[in-house]
Amino acid sequence: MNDVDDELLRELRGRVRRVVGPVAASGPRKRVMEEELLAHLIDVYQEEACVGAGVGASAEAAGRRLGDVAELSRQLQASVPLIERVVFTWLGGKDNPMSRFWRIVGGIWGVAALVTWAFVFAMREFRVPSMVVLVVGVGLVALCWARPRVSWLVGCLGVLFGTSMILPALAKYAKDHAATGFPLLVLGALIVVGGLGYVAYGVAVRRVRTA
Amino acid sequence: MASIGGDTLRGHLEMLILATLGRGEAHGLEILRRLEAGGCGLLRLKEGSLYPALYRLEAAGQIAATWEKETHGRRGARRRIYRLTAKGGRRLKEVRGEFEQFVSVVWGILGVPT
Repeated sequence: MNDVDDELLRELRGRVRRVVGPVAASGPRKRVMEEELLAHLIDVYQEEACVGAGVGASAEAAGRRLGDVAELSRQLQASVPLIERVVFTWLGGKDNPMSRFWRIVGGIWGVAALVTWAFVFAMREFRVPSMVVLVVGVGLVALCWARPRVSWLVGCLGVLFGTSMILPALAKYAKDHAATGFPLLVLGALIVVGGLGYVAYGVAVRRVRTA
Repeated sequence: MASIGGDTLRGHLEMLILATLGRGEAHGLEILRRLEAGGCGLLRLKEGSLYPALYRLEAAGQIAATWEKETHGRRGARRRIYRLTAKGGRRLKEVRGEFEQFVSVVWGILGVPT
């Protein structure tokens, strides 16, 4: 048995982390990948060392047998379920100027907005406005995704759009004291909050680019 | 004879894994050894490529995995032992049939007697 000392273990682990690190996936899934690939790499190292190669040559051969780092990362990424991939790409994007905390807040906002939208859509009288909200919302988010520099402008539009939903809903409530407009009010408020978030994001993007 | 690797192999890798596990449970390196032995040294596979295929099969419920108990001198890194599930067994039967049909059609076109 060719023992693996601390230094070699660090090297092999580093190699595995270069493969698994860029994969957008949950922590437990990445830990499974890391441990399994490390066990494989150690087995292969021991196999190579048994035929008489030195420590460095055996580690090198083990890495070669594992394959190209970027290609393997891409293949591992493709094995991650789509929803998990989208969520962890959002949470783990290194070129995103927002901190992880704000990305989590943004994600929670997105889920809340979607759930509220579903409630509004379920009400017959709001079906058409909710479709308009969906189309406009998806369009604005896509615009921000494609052109992050205009996020502040998109945010301003979001604030105006959300306000245009809140004010009539408030007026209706003041007039009839009916709670039917409540989901629309919540959705409008969420859009305003999201718009403010996009304004802040747009400012952060401009700051990072200027720096 | 030219070796088989890259895209040619990748297209059939999941089927080959199912067939390999049809002969009994195994960890990643053992699956590779079985593939190598079955391929008479002609299969050329980057070893890391096996794992994404295993994860896809596991997500599809065609194979299941358990961590091995001992690390056997691997300093804490454990291997996962894969086995075929009932769903995987059914899929293996299906792909064997599909492949048999495919081969007989292609061989017919190529003019190879079957």
